[in-house]
Amino acid sequence: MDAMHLIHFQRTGHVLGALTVLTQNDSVMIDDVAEQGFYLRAGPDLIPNTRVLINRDHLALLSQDFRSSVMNRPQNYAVTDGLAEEQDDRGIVVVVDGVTVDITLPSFVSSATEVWCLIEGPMIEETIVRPITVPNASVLGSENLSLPSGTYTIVIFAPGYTVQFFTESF
Amino acid sequence: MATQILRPVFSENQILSSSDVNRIVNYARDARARHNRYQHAWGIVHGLELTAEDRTDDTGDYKEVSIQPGMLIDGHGREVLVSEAVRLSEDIFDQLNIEQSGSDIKYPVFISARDEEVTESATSIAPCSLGATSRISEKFDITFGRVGSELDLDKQTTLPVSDGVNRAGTWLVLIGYVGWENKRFDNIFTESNGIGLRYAGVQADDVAGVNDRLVLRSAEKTIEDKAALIIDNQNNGEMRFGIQDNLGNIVPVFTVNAKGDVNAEGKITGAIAGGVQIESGIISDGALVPLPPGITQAQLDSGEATAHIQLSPRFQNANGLPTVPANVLWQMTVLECYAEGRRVNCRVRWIRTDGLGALTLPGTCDFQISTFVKAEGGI
Repeated sequence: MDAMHLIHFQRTGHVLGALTVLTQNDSVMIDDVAEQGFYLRAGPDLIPNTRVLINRDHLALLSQDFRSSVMNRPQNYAVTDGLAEEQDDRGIVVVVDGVTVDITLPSFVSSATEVWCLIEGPMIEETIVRPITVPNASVLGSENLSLPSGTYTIVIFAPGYTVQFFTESF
Repeated sequence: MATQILRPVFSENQILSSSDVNRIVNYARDARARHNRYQHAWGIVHGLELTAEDRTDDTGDYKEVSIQPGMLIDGHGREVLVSEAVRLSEDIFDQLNIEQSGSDIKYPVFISARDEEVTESATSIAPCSLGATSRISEKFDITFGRVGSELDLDKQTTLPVSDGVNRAGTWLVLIGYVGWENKRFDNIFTESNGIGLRYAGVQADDVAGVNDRLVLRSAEKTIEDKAALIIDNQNNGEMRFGIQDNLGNIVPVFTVNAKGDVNAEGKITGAIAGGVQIESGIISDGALVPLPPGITQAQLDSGEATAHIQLSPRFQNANGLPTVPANVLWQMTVLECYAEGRRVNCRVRWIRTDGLGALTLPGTCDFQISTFVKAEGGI
């Protein structure tokens, strides 16, 4: 088993899933494994069993040498310069109140950083996927986002940190 | 009124006029042009490669681009012969005013046939006819097109079937592309916008061998390691595909005989009716199990093929989980592991053996997918 394929969020490289294929390992394409999108499990400790569908358009596939650590826990990694690197799992703080989205990172960023935010809930028809910029030398990024009252599942793809999930109600 | 083709005939003591003799020439030329148009497809017959030599002068480095000798047939059936290498003219390119800004731009290079009247001394008994045209020189023009003009090559005006050689109209044949920088050529290419060089072809409904065999070669017989196909009557009828050696012999990798027996030295991929195709590997929660090569989701959806997926939870080590004391372990329990269509659902719970913590995480499975393609007519 020489190669593994990493399904990742194209904008930030966060790995969502991984696979190996025995007979045709050199010809796997993203549509072969995520043509209808990728179901990412979300929610505190995955209970309740919430899943968020990441649209195919946001996904890409990268092949690299097999590593059991990445295969076992793909969501601890992100693709950087063509290689999966383990990410910081310290907690990010997210506040969504129907008017703004505030994201607070555990550490100051050394340059303006785009944190990608995916928001899904029964009150909105389409999943919202948008970047929130954390300015240079800051930990806080904030963007206006008008949402109707309800409960939302939020997935945060912050460069340098593991993909993180939140449930917010307002 | 239908156009009639007139063939000259001669009789004893007939005085031949120049038109009679010209008709002999034109009859043959027109017949050949129609043959070229309808039994062949237009394009390069031989040679005409673009070549580039590195050059340097006061203005810097550039390429001296030339067309090598060769021959082509144009869409009017005319043959164009380039008997010696011809250098492409930067002046002509510049005067066409087709340059556009940007990098790596490819400008098409075309050849078209041109007739030029030449006055040569010909034997004449009439003094007043001295100086009349007695030869037509079959020349060619080299020109350049705007970027993308190669896409219009198939929109050129064709001739009615009864026409012979079109002596006035032009037909462009692409022979390559050039790059242009600082009033000089800086590169050559053979393809742009998916449009490459077109070589002359054959148009026929029935092609028959003459020595109990028929051979199709992707290159000349003397060029080894090129793909070729042969149909002959060896072993009561065979078709063999392979690579030709330096003697032109085809070393077969695929053979089918007249009884339908197939012998392939490589892999056969794709949906094989009546066969089972299997793929296996490791996959994490949330992804779709990849189908074996040649099997598509559309085949599954239409019922043309069926898939059987087997998932087995993969018991992993606890690397990557929070650190626990030396005498404590993480123990994995499978909460769910099944395929929903092709989608993998695998969730595992990690429990500390001291009972002081637990985590639920996406899991990983070993998978095996077996697909069965129905044979035509059912089994």
